[in-house]
Amino acid sequence: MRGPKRIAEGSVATFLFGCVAFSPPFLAIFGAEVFVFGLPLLYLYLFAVWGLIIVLVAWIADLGSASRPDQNDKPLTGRTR
Amino acid sequence: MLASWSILLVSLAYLCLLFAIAYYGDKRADAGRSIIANPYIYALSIAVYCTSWTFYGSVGRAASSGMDFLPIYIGPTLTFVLWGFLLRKIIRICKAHRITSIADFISSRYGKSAALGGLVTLIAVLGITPYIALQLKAVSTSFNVLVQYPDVVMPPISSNVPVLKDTAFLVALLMAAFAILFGTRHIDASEHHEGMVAAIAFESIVKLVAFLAVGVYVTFGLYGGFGDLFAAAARSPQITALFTSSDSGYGHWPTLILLSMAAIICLPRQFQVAVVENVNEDHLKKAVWLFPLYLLIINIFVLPIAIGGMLHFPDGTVDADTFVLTVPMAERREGLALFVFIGGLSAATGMVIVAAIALSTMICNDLIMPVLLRLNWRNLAEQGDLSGLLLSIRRGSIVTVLLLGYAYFRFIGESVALVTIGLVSFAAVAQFAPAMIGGMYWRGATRVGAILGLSLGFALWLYTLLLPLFALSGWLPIGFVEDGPFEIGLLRPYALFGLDGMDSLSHAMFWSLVANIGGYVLGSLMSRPGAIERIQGALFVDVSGRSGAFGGTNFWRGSATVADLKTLLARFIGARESDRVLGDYARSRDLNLDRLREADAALVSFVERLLAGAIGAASARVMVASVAKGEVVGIEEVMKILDETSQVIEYSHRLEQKSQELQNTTQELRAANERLKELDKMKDDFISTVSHELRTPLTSIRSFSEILTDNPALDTTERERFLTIIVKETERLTRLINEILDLAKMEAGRMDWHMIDIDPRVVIDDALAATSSLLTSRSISLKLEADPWLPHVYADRDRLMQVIVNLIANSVKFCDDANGEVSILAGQLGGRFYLGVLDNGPGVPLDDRQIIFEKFQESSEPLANLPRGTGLGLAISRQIVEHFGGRIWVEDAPGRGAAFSFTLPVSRAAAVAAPDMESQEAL
Repeated sequence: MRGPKRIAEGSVATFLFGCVAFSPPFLAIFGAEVFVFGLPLLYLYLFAVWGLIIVLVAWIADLGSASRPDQNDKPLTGRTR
Repeated sequence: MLASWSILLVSLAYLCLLFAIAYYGDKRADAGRSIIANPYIYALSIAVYCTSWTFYGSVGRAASSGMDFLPIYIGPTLTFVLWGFLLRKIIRICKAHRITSIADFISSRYGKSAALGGLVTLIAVLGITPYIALQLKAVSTSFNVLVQYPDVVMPPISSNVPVLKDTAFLVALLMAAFAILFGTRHIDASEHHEGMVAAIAFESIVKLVAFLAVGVYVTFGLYGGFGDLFAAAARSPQITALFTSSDSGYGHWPTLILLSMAAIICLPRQFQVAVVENVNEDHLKKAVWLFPLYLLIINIFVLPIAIGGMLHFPDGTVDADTFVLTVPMAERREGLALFVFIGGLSAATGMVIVAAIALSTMICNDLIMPVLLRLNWRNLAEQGDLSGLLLSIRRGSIVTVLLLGYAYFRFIGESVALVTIGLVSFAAVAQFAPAMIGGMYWRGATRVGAILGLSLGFALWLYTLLLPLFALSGWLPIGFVEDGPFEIGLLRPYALFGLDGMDSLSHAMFWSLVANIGGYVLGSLMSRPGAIERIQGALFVDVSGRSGAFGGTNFWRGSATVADLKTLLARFIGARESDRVLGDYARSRDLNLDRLREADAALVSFVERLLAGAIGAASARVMVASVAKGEVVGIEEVMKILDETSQVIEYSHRLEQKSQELQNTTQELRAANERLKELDKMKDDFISTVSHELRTPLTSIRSFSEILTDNPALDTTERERFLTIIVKETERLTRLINEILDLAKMEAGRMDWHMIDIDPRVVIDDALAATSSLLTSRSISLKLEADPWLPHVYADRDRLMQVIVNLIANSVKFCDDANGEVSILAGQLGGRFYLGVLDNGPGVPLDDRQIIFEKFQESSEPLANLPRGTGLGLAISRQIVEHFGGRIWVEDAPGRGAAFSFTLPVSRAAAVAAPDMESQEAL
């Protein structure tokens, strides 16, 4: 039962993180005219956060395959017998 | 030199290649060896999301408003983060109910309502039309730009060109032909188009590589990498504004993200590839990060290309939507430009083909069939094979959809940027989200609510987004936008009810979603769901929990003849296919359909679901109702069934829990019982052994006493001998009884222990003194090897001595007869006090090393010539050592013989004192 719950929690947390990171206030902060390694800060920030979210999703989805996420899917008849 | 015929030739060759891939994919699917059954192809097919909008439009958007092109790709990423809640559930529902389009999904959820299916189809067709126009515009523009090579000249407005000479019109026809070839070759009950998916996945690779090629060329070919490019950009304040917040701000980002989040599941073509064409739910797990990764990669070079284009054409005569193409052209990169054109063509054809197929399925199943069936299904029923009719309707729909797209392009889209056109479509399909997601989680949502919400949302979309575009293109008086209809200021479409100061998209989204969700919730609360609505609601909401038990929606109470059902099915999906699926069904249930006359409810439902795959849920119901006698069950009965089943489930769940608990208890009881039995047996064994052990000396005492009594004439020496034996046996008896008492006391925990801190050295010396008589009587040499300093132990002195004496006596007994040697080792082992007694006797076999410490157990080795012990010495020793917190064991002595050893924990006082002692020694 641990696996699916962890996936749900991880997914929601990642989603909320994305919502906050791409919210207008943060974009305004990172929209400063600053260059890091010759790249505009905003450009770097957007792609870095995006990449991080993708890594998190991959990691969470992998949790699922390790811990049988489909326990709920057993037909009820099978369990009661 | 690029002549138009050579461009056409390359394009046609490319399209033929696509068709070959699709053909091969279909062939493999028919042979049962699918080429698309892996998560990579699945993720690539979802990338049909990236259309001309992405390929050409993003750069245009970036050139005008910076990073604004990006939220459209961040939204899908965020939706995919929640895949476990949304996408997986949708896929499960669709698989359980054979749902083949988003219209079918919504109609099926709200009681298989034909009205709702039709409404969704209508919104989808009107909403997607601008999107298809966008693709046509992109392909025709890119073609017209490319034929001018090597000059970079913007093509003329096509409304000045006759329709038949308009490139966009030809493109539309070509694409319609292609979509018909791909998607409507035959009617398939599962609505899988494996060949199409394979071709789409291939196109996704082509467009990605083409776009990256331009990106790499601009960044590393024209400039010296990202640093150089951005440095050049930074010299122009106009370009710098694109990637800093000095621009208009980011207030519309949440709107764009929300829109694209909805679009990735609500767009008919995304629903088609991600849900309908999904062959295995497990593919999601990889696709949920592969697809966002694809989006990220294709977006990396958007800003660099936009900057490159702006630096290249600073005067603004070149449309930024064409930068991807015009920058390589201006640099005379003929091959690259052609490759880019093919990439753009891929992006456009992929979208158009899938969208056209998805829309044609919807138009056929949810718009035309229900109307036909309602008008005169009796006439229709008399016709034989209807699959031909279905195919014609779908082909007609595809052509219609593309012509609608062309009309939109010609009359409205010409003057508008690509991204703006696309966003109008996104806003339309986003209207599906409340009814769709609400229906999956809210049981109480009703058909009335869904229809009300959808119509209100759609009406407001039409009023605040589409009609103003008509006005801006001159098809409505411009005063409609500026002053409101009939000059009512409050009704201005871009500032409805005085809501001013928002961008038009956010404004439209706000009003349409407020009306949509409001209508949906209110309508659902104010109305009562019908029987089928309730059942479907429960099935959709609980799909994961009940898919096994409730796979069939058996709400047919009546029955139909098997023959009727067969004919019905054959008419829609063909005789061969229907024979095959019904045969499979019969085999899986052990039925013989040829002998069965009346079909049961399960078979009727099965046929209905099959039909739903081909003609949509609502039409399938009407068709099945036409042959099934009896009626759909009433609301009371449904409620009863639902209540009963949920009660049964609850009850069986509790029963299951109880039986689990019972099982656990039984297991514990059984274990306890086993233990008791074992103890009982041990007690019996003990008593019988003890009696036996006691009887031996008693017998000898008794017999010798009898001899003495019976023979008074015995000589003195003989008498003496017998008396000595009697005394010895008595002593042995006493010893035995003492030991049994000791052991019994120890085992019962009633022993008096005088635990003190003692120096083991003293105890060892005492034990040696006590056993010295044993040694001398058998000429055995004894060695003592003890560390100069032994750690103190916390123990009972007498008992410890008893252990050492026991071990020495034991060793003496078993050591070599001729030259016996017993050595005692004392020292430390792993921070504990260690004492070992080694002999050079026969040793203890491996199997006996555990049991010799049990009561009355001696080594199984025959010891004929040796005196018998009591058999309790080692058992007592173990009890004592373990009471002191130590361990006793036996192993092979070096050389030969046995080594009995024990360790004891060091007393706390000694443990503290030890370092001092060591340091003194070191000094």
